This record gives sequence, structure tokens and C-alpha cells, in this order.
Amino acid sequence: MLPNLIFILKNMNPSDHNPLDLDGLKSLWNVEMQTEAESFSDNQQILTIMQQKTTSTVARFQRNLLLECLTAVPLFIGAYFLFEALNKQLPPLVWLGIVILTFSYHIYLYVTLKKQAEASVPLAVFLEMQLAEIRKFMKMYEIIAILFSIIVFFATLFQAYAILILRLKLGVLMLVPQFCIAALASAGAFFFTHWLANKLYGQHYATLQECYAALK
Amino acid sequence: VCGNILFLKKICHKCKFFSKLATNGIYTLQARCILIFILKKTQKNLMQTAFLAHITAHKALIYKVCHTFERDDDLRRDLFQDIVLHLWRAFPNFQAAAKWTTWAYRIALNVAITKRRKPQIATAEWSDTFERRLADTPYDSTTDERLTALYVAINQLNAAEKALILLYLDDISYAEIAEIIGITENNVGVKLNRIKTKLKQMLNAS
Repeated sequence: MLPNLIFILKNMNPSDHNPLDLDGLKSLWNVEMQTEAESFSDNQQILTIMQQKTTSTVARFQRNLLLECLTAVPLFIGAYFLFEALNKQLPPLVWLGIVILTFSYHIYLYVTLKKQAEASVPLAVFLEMQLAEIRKFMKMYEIIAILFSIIVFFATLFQAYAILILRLKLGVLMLVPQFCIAALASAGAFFFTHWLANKLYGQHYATLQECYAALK
Repeated sequence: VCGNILFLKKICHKCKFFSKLATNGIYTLQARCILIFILKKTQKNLMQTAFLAHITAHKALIYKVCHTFERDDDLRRDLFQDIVLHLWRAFPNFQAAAKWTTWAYRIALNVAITKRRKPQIATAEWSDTFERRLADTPYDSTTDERLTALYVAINQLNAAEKALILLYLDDISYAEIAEIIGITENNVGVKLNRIKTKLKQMLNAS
């Protein structure tokens, strides 16, 4: 009698008919999660968490911006005194313009990021916002890469011109290998900046893009 | 919260110290500053209490997201911390009329999906650690095996699919899923059917 009863009770469990049925696993999963969540953290830990700083991408961008602003202050002061020492005065309006431009750009980025930090929008909208923001940062790096490579190219060429033509009075043909070196250095600078941007944001961008494409 | 602040304001008005300061013209501003400081502090404490009550009641919701998106226990704790922090920062903007689960799921999923991650460890390795952990707990062995298979299968899905199946497993309605994810209800149905088929195939293969 007893073995039969056990057999009937066993067969009454619907998840036993199809052990890997998703609907049957739902309740098991919920019970398991509830049990594990209880032992995962207590109120004291949550209170401690509330005082800490976040490690999210947007928060990291915000911290980087603040750091850039902080480093810009001694840089401006240093640049001002350097110009003073070299007896090359810049009109005060130009200084003011540079400072205002730098800080207003940083403030604009910070405010945009602050809006991004509000994560209570639907997932698809949030992904769209994040992708647009990362694209902006990547575009900024691309512009920096182009400017950096142009500066490297002309700086290398100018240095060679000053040494070979002006000081050593050699022929213009001597500039050809220097031109090649400048082109290589400039390409190197471009690819390095491009690689850096890709390393910083590329993989993350691709992951988010993939997720967004899967949703749409 | 507002009711408590009004109550506190009334007490402050009746309090001898503050009324004395308030009647003295020179100290009126200081008295106001002290009052604002106390009110803000009380408001923060009240908000903290309300937030903790919500978190305690819905701790499993955050844990489910962490468990679905991270395999390692330390990474799960990191993600848990990030989600709680985001919820806490967004809490002043939470409208009482809105549903807490929808609001919390939105934030939790946004944080979990957009978090930067290092390349993942092999599935087999994770499965092994998980099984070892389960071996120490006195659960029904068949149940644990089925759940382990489910976790391994979910782990093979992409982030968007993980989000959808997580909401499905938590018995959230299609309309609410659509609200959380930001796609249409029909789209939710189509995508969930595809994911379910995919999961069933994986589970049967395992």
C-alpha cells in the first residue's frame, strides 16, 4: 500500500513528467533565488553600499571629466608662467577664451552624463543613449588621432628641416628620408590613438550594439 | 515622507530654542539654516528607511539580476553594489504611483547590461564550481541538477535574451516586460517564444 502511495504522490508533481520543462522550473528557480537572496546581504551591508561610489561606465566618465578639470587648472597656471618666462604675452581675452572653452566643454559633457546616469528609462532607450554617448567619445578620439598625427608629422619634419637645412646647410634631398620617418611616426601616432580609443570603448560599444540589435 | 517633514516643522515652530532665534532678527537666517539642515537630515533618514524597506522586500529581484548576469560570487557582489547604488541615487525621483518592480527592474537591467566586463571564464568551469557548491547543500538532487542545467543554458544566451528570460521566469506579465525593456508586447511574445525554444533545445541536449 505504502509504496503505491509514494508512487502516486511522485507522479502528482507536474515537473516530474517533463523534468526539463521551463514552466515547471519557474517555481523551483524562484524558491532557490529567494533562499539565496536572503543570505546574500543584510541591511547593514546595504547601508554601507549606499555610502560607496559606483563603478559604472557613466560614473567613470564623470570621474575622468572631474580629473581632467582638476589637471587643467595647474596646466593653465603652468602655461601662463611659461609664457611669462619666455616673454611671450598672450592677450588676457585669449586666456579667458581658452579657459572658458575648456571648462564649458567639460561642464556640457558632465551635464549630459548626469542625464545618462538616470537609469530608470526602458532598457532599449538606455542602450540607445549609451551608444550615442560612446560614439561621441570615440569621435572625439578620432579627431584627436588626426590632430595628433598631423602635429607629429609637422613636428618631425620641422625638426629635420631645422637641423639638416638650417644648421648643417645640407641639400633638400636629405629631407626625403626624414619625410618618410615623419610619415611613419604620424601613422604610428594615428594608429596608437585609434587603438587606444578602441581598447577603451570599442569592445564595450560592440557588446552594447549587439544587445541593442538583439532587442530591436 | 512629506507628512513626517510637516510634523517636524510644527515641532520646530513650537520649540523654544528655534522660536527664540526666529524672533531675534539677527539670527533669523541662522535659525532657518539650522532648520533646513535638520529637515534635510530627517528627510534623508526617512528616505533611507523607506529605501531599505523596499530593498529588503525586493532583495530577491536584485539578486536574480546579479545571478543571471554574473557567474562569479565576487562579481555578483560588485554588481549588487552597483545596482543598489543606482537605485538609491534614483530613489528621490521614484514616483509612488509607479510600480516598484518595474522601476527597479529597469535600473537593475540597465546597470547589469551596460556594466563593463572582462572576458568570461569557460562555462564548464563555472558549472563545475556551481555543482560543487550545490553538493554541500542538502537539496533534492534532481531539482538541483535541473536548475544547474537551466543556469548553464541561460548563461549561453546573449544579454538581451538573458534579460527577457529572467523577467519571464520571475512571472512578470508581457505588458510589464514591454514596459521594462522598451519594446512592444507582440515583440516580447515573439522573442520569448524563440528564447524558450532555444532553451528547451539546450536543456534537452544536456
